[in-house]
Amino acid sequence: MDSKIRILLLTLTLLFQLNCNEVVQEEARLTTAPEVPPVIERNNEAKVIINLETVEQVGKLSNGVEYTFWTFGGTVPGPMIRVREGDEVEFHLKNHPSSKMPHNIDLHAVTGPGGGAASSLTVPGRSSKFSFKAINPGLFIYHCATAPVGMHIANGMYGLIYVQPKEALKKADKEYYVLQSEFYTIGKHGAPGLQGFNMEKAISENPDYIVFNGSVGALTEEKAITANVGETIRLFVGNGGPNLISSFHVIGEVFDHVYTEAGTEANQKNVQTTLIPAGGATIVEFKVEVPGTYILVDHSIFRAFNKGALGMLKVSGATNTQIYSGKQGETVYLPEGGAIQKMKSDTKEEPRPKTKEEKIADGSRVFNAVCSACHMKDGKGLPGTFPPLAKSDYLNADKARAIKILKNGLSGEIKVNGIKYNNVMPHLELSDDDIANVLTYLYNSWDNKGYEISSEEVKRN
Amino acid sequence: MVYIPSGTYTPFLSDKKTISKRKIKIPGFYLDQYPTSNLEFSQFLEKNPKWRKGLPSPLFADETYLAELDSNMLGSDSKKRNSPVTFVSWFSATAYCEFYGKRLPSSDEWEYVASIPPKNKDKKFIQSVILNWYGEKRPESLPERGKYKNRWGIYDMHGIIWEWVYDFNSSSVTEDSRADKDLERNLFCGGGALQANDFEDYASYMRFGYRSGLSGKYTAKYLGFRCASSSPPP
Repeated sequence: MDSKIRILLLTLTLLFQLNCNEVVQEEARLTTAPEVPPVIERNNEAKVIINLETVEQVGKLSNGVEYTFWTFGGTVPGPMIRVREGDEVEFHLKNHPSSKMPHNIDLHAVTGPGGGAASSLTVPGRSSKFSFKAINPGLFIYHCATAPVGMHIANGMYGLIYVQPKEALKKADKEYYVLQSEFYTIGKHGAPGLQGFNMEKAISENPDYIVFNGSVGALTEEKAITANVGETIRLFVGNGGPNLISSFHVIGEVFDHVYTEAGTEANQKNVQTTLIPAGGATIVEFKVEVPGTYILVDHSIFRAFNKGALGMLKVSGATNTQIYSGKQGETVYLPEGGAIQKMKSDTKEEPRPKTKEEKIADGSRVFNAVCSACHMKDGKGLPGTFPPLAKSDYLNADKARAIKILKNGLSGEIKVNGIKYNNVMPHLELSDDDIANVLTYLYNSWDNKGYEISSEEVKRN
Repeated sequence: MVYIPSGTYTPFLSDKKTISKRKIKIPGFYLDQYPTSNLEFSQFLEKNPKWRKGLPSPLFADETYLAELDSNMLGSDSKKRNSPVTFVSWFSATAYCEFYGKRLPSSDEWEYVASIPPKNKDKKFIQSVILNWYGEKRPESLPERGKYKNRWGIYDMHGIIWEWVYDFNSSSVTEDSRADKDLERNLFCGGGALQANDFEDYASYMRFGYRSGLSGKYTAKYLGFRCASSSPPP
């Protein structure tokens, strides 16, 4: 009896100790972009609690432009999460009572139906809980996957979760969180006020805004990310989409390493631009050697300069002219003569006057491009509508009148070769040379009187 | 109440066991012209004190039940008396309807009426009303009823609140509701595209998604109800 009790107690103690040794529990520290959660220093697996709230709120999309964002954690993108490979994650998704919509979360780091979505559908004012084991290391997008999923993503519901590999990456001096995404608004880019979501534009994949970290200017000027010369930078870059693939590029930098599509291998070196699929991510690393401002862009470049996909990395420190000299001089480049030349002074060569034949040749090009649509290639016009230029009494009767018509246009009734015309010939934007050439061409074609018209004559009239 | 003529309607989600684009015949029925208001619900509480705030069992109404119903709703000075009542559970809504000899509409009945656009408008217009509602600035309290009227004279099927239906979880319960199958996975992500009849009917996705997430005791800020009846109202 005594020994039985002793064995029982021993077993209980052992069990208790085992439990205590095994389960380390902690709450994940979530960070707002561009901040990245600190590196996880522990070498053991843990149970990690994540609390994330969905909130629908009006926020700034651009200067003077507001939008009703659907968010994780009240920010677009949602907070960044960091756990360690092998951790057991207990996820609590809370939908704020003021929400109109049901929401859930699909973490691409989750192996299981819907990436957690099927277990986390949460109506306003409720909280859902599910758990998963982070078996695959890497950088993953998470997003809301409640139907219609496109709309939840288009309204701002995405973020990044980094499952730190058991063997952590080499420490970088600076780590930043950047996320690209698009917005589809009722008004055009820049139209002020509260902008609603435009379903047609979303379906046709034609966004008005393409931005880093949720709004135009979220990563520029005083909100730029920073570093010092000599530091290594690691960017965790996600693409929330919902539709477009990003050609991610940092102007003036070459990525020393790229973890393509955010896999765990630094599989590329010396990359200029890397693709980030919608619903995907990448990790890039580079050392900054030269101070200055480096521009982060989607190198589908109209997105950067016309739709907002611009960010800044400001690097401070001493200049290094060994690597980048700065501007060393400026000269004019003239392609003639093969060598770079200094700009000559204002002496302009007088153009050689053209021969009659050259004028006729030039004039025929003008005629075919501008006049023949109405007056026809053969100059016969359309009787009653467009007067003829071939063997034309009206044309041959008055050179000065012809010049004026070409300079100013003509409207009202005229009589050509016995037929009345009452139509409008618009004023054509022709140079004096063009007018001289085309008239010379006309007077020397189709049995007309063979006059030669000079530019000076055109100028005078 | 307004008489809703019988007709057919194509449900947004097709039944797996039948061909898609199945049409459902809806027999004629009666439907409240407006969602139930704060005033109307307060009058119900006068006669049914057991449904007052804090009294129903937590099985029938959760802790936010009637969170926005003031005690002075019967007074004429209340600004919210003509706004739809929200933070009501399925059980309390059902009790209300039954007290007046009515019932909650079925989801088919509700969707049938909701699919009717206002006079001289088409389905696109309904979508724009809904999308505007999603994107608008959130008012301090819900607006008065009567913002949106459809061709049959029914108000506010869209644009102010979500509404309870009798069979709110019919699209979510699968063959075996004991297993972890209580949510309709086909409503999530790409799966949603497998069953839907109209891929652009985003609003319907949202309604079915919303209903799938509900449980009978839940109450929420934008969730109210209206009653239906198969026979003429008394």
